[in-house]
Amino acid sequence: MTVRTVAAKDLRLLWRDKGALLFVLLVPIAVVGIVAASLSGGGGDTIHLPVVDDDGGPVARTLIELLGERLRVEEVDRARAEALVGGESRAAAALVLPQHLSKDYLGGRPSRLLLLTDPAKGNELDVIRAYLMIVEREAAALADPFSEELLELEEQSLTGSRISTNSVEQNVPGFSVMFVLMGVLFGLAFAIQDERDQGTVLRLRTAPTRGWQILAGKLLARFLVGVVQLVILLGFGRLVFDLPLGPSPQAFLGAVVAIVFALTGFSLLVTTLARSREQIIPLGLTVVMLVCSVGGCWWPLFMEPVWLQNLAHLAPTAWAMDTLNDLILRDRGLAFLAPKLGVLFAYGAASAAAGARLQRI
Amino acid sequence: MRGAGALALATGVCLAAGLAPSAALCLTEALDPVAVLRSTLDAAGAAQRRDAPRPERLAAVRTAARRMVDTDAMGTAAIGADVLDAQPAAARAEYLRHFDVLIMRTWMQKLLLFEDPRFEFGRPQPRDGATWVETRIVTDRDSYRLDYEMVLRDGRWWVTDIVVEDLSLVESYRGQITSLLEQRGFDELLALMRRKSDGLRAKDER
Repeated sequence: MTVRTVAAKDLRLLWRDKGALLFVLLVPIAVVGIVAASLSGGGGDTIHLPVVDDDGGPVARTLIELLGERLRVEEVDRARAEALVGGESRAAAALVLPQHLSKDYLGGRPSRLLLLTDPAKGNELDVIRAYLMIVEREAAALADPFSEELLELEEQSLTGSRISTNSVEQNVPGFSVMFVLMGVLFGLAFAIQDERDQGTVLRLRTAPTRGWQILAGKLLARFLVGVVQLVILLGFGRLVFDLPLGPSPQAFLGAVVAIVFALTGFSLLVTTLARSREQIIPLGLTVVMLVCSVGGCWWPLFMEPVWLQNLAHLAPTAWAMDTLNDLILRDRGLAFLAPKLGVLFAYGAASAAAGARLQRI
Repeated sequence: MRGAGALALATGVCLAAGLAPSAALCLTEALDPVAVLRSTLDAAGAAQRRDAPRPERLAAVRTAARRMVDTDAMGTAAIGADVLDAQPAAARAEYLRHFDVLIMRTWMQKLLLFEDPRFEFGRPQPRDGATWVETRIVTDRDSYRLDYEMVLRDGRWWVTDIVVEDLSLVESYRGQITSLLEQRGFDELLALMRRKSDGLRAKDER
């Protein structure tokens, strides 16, 4: 009863604070939308490959068509291609199809294709190189009738029905988790600090209320707000970016509840480190940035070194992203998610218990 | 005298084939290798432009090409008549069957690279006991040479080699077949051709 009363009071306070509400909902939606859209490559989930066709013949046309089946091919002149790769950094590579390519190919003479690259964009470049190898092999098989096609590419996904993913499926869940963590952590830290500053803790203690009940009420309020926030953010991703949300509502809700539970417990633990109101923002921002970047909210965890991936699982964000990746990218159901949900609940409970013990309220 | 004999033979073939309504065309093609090329390539081009799935278009182009391409002669020239004659009849037949699939595919691949090809035909030139017809595929930016070696046999003109931008298909195959025969022998050559042509057939059917 007391827990519910404290939670209801905190929710009313939050509802009155329109600025906080704006931060909790609208700001993250705007940021998630902008980041996801800007990192998605301008409307497609394919890699941009500018192509300079100095040949203008049928072989170049066929190569462009073959590449266009996999990449976002844009025909440009040489100067524009160099600008896109070198100056503007808008493409990882540009392909130059030389003069007389068609004549040489038809006459059985080798041709050299030139790939202008930006090695800093390693992943995209690797994908482009792989596609060029495939196309080159197909072209060689056509030119040489006895070449054996010993390597035939067949894509088969072992983790779901799709054979590719896009940046939205990384960025929307990643930034949603980050904003929920920010909301819970700062909300909780300031709420506790307010109680201390305004002396309401003392007043509450004169009532038949225990310290853990006050904390539990505050945690419950923030947990509920976090659940609603995460549902809204992922729902926004679904509506605007067609983000898949898993095979069943149970799996989706189970994941959301477990993630927010872990983030809430973790937040309580972090708030114990802040000794004053002034410390909350720098401390909170530092922790959020650290656990979100390392934990896979900003980029896929597999891009990190193995030792860092292991270290990242000390933070709840890595477990949260693992769970969301299983749900969204791999289409896994509740039964498959159960062990990770268990870890998240255990993480939340343990860190909340430790936080409650250290909390001075 | 030779021309008159060919004309008489061609007329006989056309009549025997019951082609009375198109007898004039038949006779023209019998006399003029360029007419044979033109009508065949026109038919192939029309098949290529059809609004149909790729396998159907390939089949139509292949049907049109069979009117003039003598793949048995090309296959025999590529491996050498003495080598082929030394093989059992069944192996010879299988070799020629697979060679037909492979060389038709090679030529059609090159032809199908061109969207809506425009052909220009040169005058027939006698050379090395055959007649050579120079053709060009003209595009907006360039033109590409395809020369056809043709022989008159049984009242019809047959293509016995195709030279694409100075690359003779028969010579190209001859180089590869000779190398394979030296390294692996006839049986393995046949096995390789079987795998390759079966793979192409399966791909066409997909």
